[in-house]
Amino acid sequence: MNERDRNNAAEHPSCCRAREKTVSRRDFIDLFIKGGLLVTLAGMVLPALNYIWPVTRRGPGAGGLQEVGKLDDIPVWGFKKVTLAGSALILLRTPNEVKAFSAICTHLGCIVDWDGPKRQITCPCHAGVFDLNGRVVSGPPPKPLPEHAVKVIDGKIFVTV
Amino acid sequence: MYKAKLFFWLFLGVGLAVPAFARDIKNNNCIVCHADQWEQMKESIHARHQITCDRCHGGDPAQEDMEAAKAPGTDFVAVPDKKQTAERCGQCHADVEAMNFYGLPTDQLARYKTSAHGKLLFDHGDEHGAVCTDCHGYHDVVAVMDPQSPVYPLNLPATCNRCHGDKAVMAPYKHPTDIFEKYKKSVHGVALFEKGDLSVANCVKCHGSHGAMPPGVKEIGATCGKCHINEKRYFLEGPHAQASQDGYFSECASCHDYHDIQRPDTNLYNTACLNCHSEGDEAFKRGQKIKEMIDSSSRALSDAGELVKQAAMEGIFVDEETAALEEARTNVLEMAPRQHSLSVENIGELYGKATALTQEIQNGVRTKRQSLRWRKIALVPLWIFIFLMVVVLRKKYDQLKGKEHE
Repeated sequence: MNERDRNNAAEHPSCCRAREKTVSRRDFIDLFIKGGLLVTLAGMVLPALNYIWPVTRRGPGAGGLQEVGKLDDIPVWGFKKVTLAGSALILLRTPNEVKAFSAICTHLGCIVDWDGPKRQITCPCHAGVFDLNGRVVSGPPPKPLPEHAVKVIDGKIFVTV
Repeated sequence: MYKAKLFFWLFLGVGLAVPAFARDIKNNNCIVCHADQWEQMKESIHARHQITCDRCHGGDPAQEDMEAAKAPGTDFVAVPDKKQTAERCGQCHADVEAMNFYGLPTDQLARYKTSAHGKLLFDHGDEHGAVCTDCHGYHDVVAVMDPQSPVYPLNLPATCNRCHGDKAVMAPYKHPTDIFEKYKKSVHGVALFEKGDLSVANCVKCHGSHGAMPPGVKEIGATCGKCHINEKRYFLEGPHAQASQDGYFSECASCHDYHDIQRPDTNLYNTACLNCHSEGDEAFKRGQKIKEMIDSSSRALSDAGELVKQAAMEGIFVDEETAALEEARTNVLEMAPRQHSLSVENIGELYGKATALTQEIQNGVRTKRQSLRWRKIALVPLWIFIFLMVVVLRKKYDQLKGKEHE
């Protein structure tokens, strides 16, 4: 309440009660608008921050690449199974490169395994065998395993989704 | 100018040169009279490789005189009998050097002589024994993988059925003549004829081709095991392996039958087991336990699949559940070959994994649905907030408008 209001209140108590009430409502509306604008602004800024900051946290990164692990996680001639976009992938590490294939057997859809000593991909269900390039060696699979492009950057393995 | 002339004469020379193949055919005087046979033969694999009439019929095709072409000493045979046919084909097809560059095996004649057909012909002099030409054709013989060949996988069962479906031919041997009909309705026949899967079992895949023999009780497992590798492997770990070794049990056929093999399901535990076991015995109960685990996990997998599909249609992200579904499916599919071990523990391991995964899928979808419901509820205060903002902004507008008028 300012000086003029205080003088008025002293002279006309009934009139200023009403005025005091009006001012209080105005302050409330101002406060509500400020708060509302703040919330709206936060609603706009947060997704932007989420986009800028943890850029590779979810979804494919630039060029559809998705980080699936570190090179050190897989020994040479070892393997790792990962789930990407709702489907299993098998990563194989050779002395020269890392390969990624769909881990879903093209016969009936079982998840394949890596037979390290024989250096073959095998299906536990119907004994389908695939070579290091995903090609069918023997058994009932009608098609090779689909291959995904792999990039190793700073010791991290990225697979094209 | 000189170069142009040279090119002209070279071009003319190439154009007019008679190919080696045509030259040979030109010297084959048999076709002067037997033009109709040549019509049949000219597209054959033999004609394409310059194999002329004399290789099978003898004679001297270079002779223009018919009598001289068929003269004694030319080894001429008008129509070779079945034994001669097998041996004349074998002259080339059992010759390692001759077949080397065509990549063809050279043991067909030797195998044929060990086959039921070959034994009929060579040991018993029975001309009913099928010989090379009965299956491959004669003048118009084409490569096995040529779709026109009578032994192309899609045509082979009908070719065998020409004799094996003939009651008069089969009567002396007391062979059934409904094999082709049974095969057509079997899981293999349906895969071959309806799905066009050429890799599927047909007559020769089980009986052999040139060495065709019916597999005996002991051999049938090896025959089926050529394709059904894991089934065979687990069978050998099971209690029936010894019975099979002792000849009391035919590895696969005892439960699955042979020519009319149907897609197996767990009902076999209610029927096939009773061929040897009684309902109360331990082995039967073990079978029932395995059946229950397989049925239960198949149902759980199917329900989980439906749930994931439904959740996806509701707009829920189901990546994790889809991946878990793939894993559960692997476990359920793996039960099919593993059940041949008849080991409750073996199947129990997969059953445990599949059950845990399907449970995980159900829990995952339930949690996500719950989360979605809460999100929808959270929209209510948001809408209230937006409504209030509209109201207060309107009030503010009115206030500012009032102030302006003052």
